[in-house]
Amino acid sequence: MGQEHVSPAGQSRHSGKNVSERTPNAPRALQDIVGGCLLMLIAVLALYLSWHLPVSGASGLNSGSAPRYTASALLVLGGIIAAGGFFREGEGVGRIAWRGMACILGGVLFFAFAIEPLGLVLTGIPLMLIAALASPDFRLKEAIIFAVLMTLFCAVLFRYGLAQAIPLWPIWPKF
Amino acid sequence: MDLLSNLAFGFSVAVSPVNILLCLIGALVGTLIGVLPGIGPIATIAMLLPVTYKLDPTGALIMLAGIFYGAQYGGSTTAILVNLPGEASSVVTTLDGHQMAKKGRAGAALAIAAIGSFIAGTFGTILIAALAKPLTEVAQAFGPAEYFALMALGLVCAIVLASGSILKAIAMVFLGLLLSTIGTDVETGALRMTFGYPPLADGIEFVTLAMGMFGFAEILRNLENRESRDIVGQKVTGLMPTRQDLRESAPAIARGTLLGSLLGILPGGGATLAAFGSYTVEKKISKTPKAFGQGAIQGVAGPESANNAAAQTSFIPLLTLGIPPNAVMAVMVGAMTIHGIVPGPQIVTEQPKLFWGMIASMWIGNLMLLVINLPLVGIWVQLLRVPYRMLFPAILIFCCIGIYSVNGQWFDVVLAAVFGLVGYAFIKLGFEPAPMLVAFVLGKIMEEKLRLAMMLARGNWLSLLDFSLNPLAASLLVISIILLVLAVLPSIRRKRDEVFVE
Repeated sequence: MGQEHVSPAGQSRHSGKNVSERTPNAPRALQDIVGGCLLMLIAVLALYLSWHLPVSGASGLNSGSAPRYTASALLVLGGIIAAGGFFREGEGVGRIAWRGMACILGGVLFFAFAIEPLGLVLTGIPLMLIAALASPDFRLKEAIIFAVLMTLFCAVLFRYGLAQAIPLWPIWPKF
Repeated sequence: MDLLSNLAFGFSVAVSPVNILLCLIGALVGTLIGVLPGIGPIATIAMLLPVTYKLDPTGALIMLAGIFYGAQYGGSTTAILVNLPGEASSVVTTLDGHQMAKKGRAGAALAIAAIGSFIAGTFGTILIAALAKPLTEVAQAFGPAEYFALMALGLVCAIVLASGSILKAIAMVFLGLLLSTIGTDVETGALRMTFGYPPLADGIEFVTLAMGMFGFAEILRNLENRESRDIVGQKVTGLMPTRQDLRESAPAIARGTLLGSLLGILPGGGATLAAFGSYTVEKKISKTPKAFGQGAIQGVAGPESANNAAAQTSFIPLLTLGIPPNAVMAVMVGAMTIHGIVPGPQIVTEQPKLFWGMIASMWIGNLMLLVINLPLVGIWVQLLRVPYRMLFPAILIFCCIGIYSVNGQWFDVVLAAVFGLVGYAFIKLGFEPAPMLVAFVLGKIMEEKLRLAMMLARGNWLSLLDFSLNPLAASLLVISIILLVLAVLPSIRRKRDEVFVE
């Protein structure tokens, strides 16, 4: 594809090829082993949660059928993918955006827990600041100004422009 | 003529001031996110769903559709001027488009891309209008078994045409189906996999899943690399292509349009595959294949026409059968559902205003995009100077508010964070999340139809495959099984990988 710097648009569906160029000889297909195990974990959880539901009825299907059959298929597929990973050479996992993960997901979780007690204004500004920390070229002043402006814009747009029932201010004390 | 009067009715809906404005907004937003790398139409449409709550459904869908095809236009601008794909579907445009820009022919490349897109968009729109009636008439004769079989075939096609490992694509489809079963069972009222937690009783909200898996996970992926953008310095001049340019690119536009229209209708196809396919075709039949990669205008004209044609025609299965052929159309199903419209063949008869208005607006939108993109290209280039470090916190706050406001449920935001984490993990592990989203949308309907079909068949599984009882359903299922087996067989898989490498 002749793309040396696909950042930040690395959206190409075919970027897998670039990864393999970066790590030419990963020992085993680590991607497949980890991915297969993740699928099996999800499948086992789903089977455990849906085990008490009935799977057969007059029509041959019941409320438990779809979860159990799809989860079983997922378990088998995960097993095949993981097992295959031990026998093939393949791609490693590559760079992981740890800092991005901490900031983005941390910011989102902060928003989730703070939006109802604190309201949008006191939640949105910290969310944007926490998120901005994820960037390698973080600039404090720019980030603060932008966070305040953007949060106020969103508050006006969603609350007044679109009449959404989203709290703007802390519930206590009353303003 | 039936078709003409329907189209005339559609235009009368689409040219109302509000709808024209919404179409323009959609086209502008689409161009914007198309130009900006790092944000795609799936996340954007999901993000803007809550914004459309107060609109009437026709206007809302006109706007959301505009975002999708608008992004196909915008993506080429970045590809040509910056050598970065603004959208996944314009990856191949970077090859020859940027070479043309380097040789000072950026204007001609942009113009051909826009003209090709417009011709393809017009053809795609006409195709939707022409196929709508016959296809819906066929679909109205479908019973639950036929519907289930058709959707199964759709999922199999999505698997076969997905890039990367077949097994991983199958796994993602089953994951999507599994996620769709969470919540209250419609038939028996049993709670399924809710952890006894009341907010999960309604199931996972589509917006939550789409924004987590596509919005958040995409941001995380983009943060892995430092951004570097080399915008072609010189001013873009000479927007008029020469007579020779037009002569050289006309056949490529025609071929790209036809190929794109076909691949757009196929489930799992869509804009990206169409662009890749068209580039391969153009290179193969060219008398001077060596010119490709050096700034061959056919390498811009073909793929750019193909991706826009596919963007239009992928609405056909959605609007006539109610089956989303790709992840963007799955988001459109989410949009329809939020507005209380059940996708399916009944839309044409029950919602003619929505159906024909949307089709007519697509052509108007394409016309607007031609104007938005060509003379105003300078403005869009300026936008590329907005750094990603400002863009992603803004996307994030929009997503969070959007997810929260769907049900006023803070727990949905927590779920989206979990999906973001899982989605990013799957991307890193080489799993493509798009088939999962399609399966999630189809899952609920498929289960319902299958259970209904089984009820009618009194629990006899084999009757679904019995050609004498259900000829159509049985043949669709058999085709699905054959396709799936062929795809998993190693020899065919190698051939398919070769196609993707090109």
